[in-house]
Amino acid sequence: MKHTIQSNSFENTTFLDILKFLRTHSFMEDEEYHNIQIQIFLLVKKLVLTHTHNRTTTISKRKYHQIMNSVYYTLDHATTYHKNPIEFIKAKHIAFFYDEGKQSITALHEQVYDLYIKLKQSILPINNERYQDVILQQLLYFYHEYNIEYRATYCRQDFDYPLLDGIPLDHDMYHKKGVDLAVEYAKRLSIEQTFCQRFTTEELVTLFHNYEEHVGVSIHLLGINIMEIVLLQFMFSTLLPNQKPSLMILDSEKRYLCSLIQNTHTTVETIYQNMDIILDKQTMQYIYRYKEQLSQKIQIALEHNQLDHLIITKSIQKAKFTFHDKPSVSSKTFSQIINKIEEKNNADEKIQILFQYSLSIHDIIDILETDIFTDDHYPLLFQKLDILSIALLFKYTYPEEFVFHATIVLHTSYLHNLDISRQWQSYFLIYIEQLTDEKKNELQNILNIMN
Amino acid sequence: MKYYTIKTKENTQMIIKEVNAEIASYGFSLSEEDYQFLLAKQKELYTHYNLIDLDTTIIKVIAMTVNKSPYIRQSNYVDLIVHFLDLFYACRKQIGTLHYDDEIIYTLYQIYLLHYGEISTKLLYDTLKILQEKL
Repeated sequence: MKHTIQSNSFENTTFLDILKFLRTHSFMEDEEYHNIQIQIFLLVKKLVLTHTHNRTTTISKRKYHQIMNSVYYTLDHATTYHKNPIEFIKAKHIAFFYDEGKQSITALHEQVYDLYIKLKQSILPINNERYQDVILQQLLYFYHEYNIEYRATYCRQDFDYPLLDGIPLDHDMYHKKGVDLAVEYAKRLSIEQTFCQRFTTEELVTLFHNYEEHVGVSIHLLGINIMEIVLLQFMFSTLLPNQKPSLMILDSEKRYLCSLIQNTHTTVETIYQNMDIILDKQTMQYIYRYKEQLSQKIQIALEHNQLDHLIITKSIQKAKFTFHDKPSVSSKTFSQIINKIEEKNNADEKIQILFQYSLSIHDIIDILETDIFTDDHYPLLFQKLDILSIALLFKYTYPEEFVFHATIVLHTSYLHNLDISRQWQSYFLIYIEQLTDEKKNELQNILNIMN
Repeated sequence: MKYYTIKTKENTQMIIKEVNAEIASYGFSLSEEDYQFLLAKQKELYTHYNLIDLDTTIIKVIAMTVNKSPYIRQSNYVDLIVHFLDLFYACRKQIGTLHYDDEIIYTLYQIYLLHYGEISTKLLYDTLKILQEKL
């Protein structure tokens, strides 16, 4: 007895699976099945001949499978037969389904480009290599490289910038291939970016500068998710009374939050309820993916009494500052910093400007080279830097000292023999010379590790 | 017998008739058995070289080229076609898709004549050398 099938039961089924179903359940005669196979074979043969410029019908097995998979992938994207496979899947319709599938894939391919433009135009001012690479390189390369006819299932890019729920590899590439995978990833990234755009550039830059200070590492090469850092801060700020949620949390507010948060379940529920009022439905739907992770984070933090580690506060009160080995800021930002320093009269205020931006050690050297500081500023500035920044400053000022297998020993005669081409360098060497033996040893060890 | 089996059989008979009409003047002929054997060999050979051939025309091209050879008789005609199939797919594996099938078979046949009908590895190397020079 023949099975009955519902019109919507094949919505997400592949062409091959439908074909198999129709045959095994006697909805299709052997002859029709054979004719369909011939039509698909002729499609593949035509593609092979185009590929070889009519020179031969012989190709490598690898290339043949790529073409074959591309044809089936394209047939999967045709929509007509899904409504009534028994009626529509016929040998004479295969060419039509193939063209229909191609049109559908072309539309998705264009969608990748539109999403790339959207993401590029609103790229966040965050200096993270993976984030920038995925938007500026990977999505664009995918768009240019994608080949519907010969490599439709292929996606060379691994999209290694992790989204809120991790990298696509953690989710078996969302069970998608080719253009479907690229569109899915770009759409998710777009939701994340749109969420982060709720905040001003200044808020974001300050948050990530504070984050770097908080964790003691530059985010440039870290495999972080930007939305997660922004979202966590936003979530905690929704718990603060009488305030519009923001990314800036004061020390006093942090203490309040630490005393308020006692129960994981209640806290998470309250956060989601508060966010439900503020955020739109699509963003909320997306953020629900993070609920379990948030519960785990808060639970672990409560168990180890480390809730304060989850909340980022302003780092102005810190005694020492770190400048990481990461790319320099733009020339526009650099000019702004110089102007701001020039506006200040007091040495402390001038130096404080440096710590308000997420600068790299190269920026610090460039600023020192401008001679914007006077003699009495230098000792004050070096005192504010942590030992890692001092080591990096030494490394980039005296690169010739870092010879393979040579050990750096910071004794007085060694320091006196170093070249001084700028005024600040003499103060820098005096500062190193006057360090305590313990600090000098620490610096020496770091320098020799860098070598 | 199913409809498509009849169609395939008709197709095979047509090809054999066409080849035989061409090679008969040289004193050769191919039976349906010979042709089925060559089809099986073709599949075995291209699979051996990790290739796929979507057509069987190459058998026809070889059969209609090597029939002019002064070094064969009807008794080893099919064997020679198999040797040429092997050499053809070996060449394809090495040089990719930059030459026409006819071009490869023609070059192979010319070198075969230069080697006085001897099938050896050298025949393959010399053919590859000439084909690569043509690029």
